[in-house]
Amino acid sequence: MERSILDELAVKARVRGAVDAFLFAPATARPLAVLRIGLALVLLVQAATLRPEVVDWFSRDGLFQGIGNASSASFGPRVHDLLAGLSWLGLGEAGGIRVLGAAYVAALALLAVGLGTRLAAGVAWFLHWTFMLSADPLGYGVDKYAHIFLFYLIWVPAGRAISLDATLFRPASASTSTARFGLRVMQIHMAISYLASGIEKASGIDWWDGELLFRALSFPDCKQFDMSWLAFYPAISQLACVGTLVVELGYCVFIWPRRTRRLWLAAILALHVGIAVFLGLHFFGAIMFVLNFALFGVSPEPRPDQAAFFAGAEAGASSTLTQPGMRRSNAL
Amino acid sequence: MRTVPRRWLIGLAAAHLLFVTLGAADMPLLHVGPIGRVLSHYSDLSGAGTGYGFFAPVARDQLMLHFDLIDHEGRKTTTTLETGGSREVDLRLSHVAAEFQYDDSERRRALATALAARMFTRNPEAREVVVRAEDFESVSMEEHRNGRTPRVTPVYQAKFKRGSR
Repeated sequence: MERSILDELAVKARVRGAVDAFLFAPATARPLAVLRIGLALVLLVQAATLRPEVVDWFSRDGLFQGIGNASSASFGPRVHDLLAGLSWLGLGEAGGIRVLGAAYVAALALLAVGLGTRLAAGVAWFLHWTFMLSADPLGYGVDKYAHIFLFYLIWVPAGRAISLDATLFRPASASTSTARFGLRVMQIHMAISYLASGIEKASGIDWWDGELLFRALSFPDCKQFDMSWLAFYPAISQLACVGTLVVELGYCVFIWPRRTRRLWLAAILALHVGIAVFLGLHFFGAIMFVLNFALFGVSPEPRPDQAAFFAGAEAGASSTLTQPGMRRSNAL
Repeated sequence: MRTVPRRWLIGLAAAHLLFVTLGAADMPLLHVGPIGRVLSHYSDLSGAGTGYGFFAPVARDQLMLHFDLIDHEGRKTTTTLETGGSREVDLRLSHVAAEFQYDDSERRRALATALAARMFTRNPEAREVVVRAEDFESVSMEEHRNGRTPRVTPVYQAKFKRGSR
């Protein structure tokens, strides 16, 4: 009896220790830094691509004649709310839109180099959200993922590695519990998103018999190449569709164990490269590549030699902890 | 700096990930009373309320926009909103057609008016613009093998003369 109670307590302690190690074992901010830099660079290139259209898309006399502003029922700021606040500068509508665009680009540039990282992330997130809502009919998946991960970058210590902040202000330790915790929340979010996407896909027959891929490749706004020959080799289309289901549905399980992580990461990266090439969703492909690579392809484990280099800390100053769960504390 | 107890962090993260799950499951909080509205706003601002049903579960048709431009001599040319300037710009512009899926005549008319105005600006020689929203219905692999081609069905059409609204 006494022994079984002791066993039960031991199991509880082991479970608590494992959960604690999973969520809070000190980690470097390298994955967060790679995410920060990659996301900022993709969004900077995207901003450069969209720059000629900015005034036209957001001005009252532009593409939507103000309808785009009113189209979305969701809560949040609009370009014209901010322009009203900037009216004292006397910039006019076009000038005001350009100033907001320049502020967005400046925030992304600061985010990329990691200077005033949290503030830069906050400004980039807010302006991205504003632009996204103000031209709602023009949006797609890439905007949603950018919005989600810019928000996370405000809260996670992404400026603790590969950044000017880390070089100038030299953090006391290259490894922290908050870095691990932030990474875990984002990893779990990613796993939920693939699971939801996989379940929705699997609920329709078109993903099982391969029809969806053939049809999607024929859509006017997705058609990059003439893929009509696929109709004569339906097994290829079916294999690609079922493969997508396996990768997305299996992601939430097989991305975690070390043994299967590389395989699943390679599969999901290949999937996004395929989407970028064959459906022409270049920025969506790029952003998903960056997110997956940063979250699951970059080791957060402290390695004194590399941690010192990336974080700008003294060699050996970082935690000597090399495996999760070797140290535990109650507060961050 | 004051430290944050871990149990608080775990609670906040669990709540956030619960909203992520609800958003992924397409369960809106907006209509669940005043607290639901506040939580819905949080989901919007954090992106937690995002759905992930890209290309799922079926994608068989797609709306397209075409513009017939008629000049002073009655010659007709057909164009699209896309300019071929960059793939990203054109991709986003192609999504505007999806706005015509909603059966809201006032909104369709307002959008068609705005787009026609855009076409008049882009094509100074045009006297009339016909805005056409059409449904592109793809074919299955078997239909393609049997020689069928995608069908295009009119969804909305409106004619505008220069200077009129």
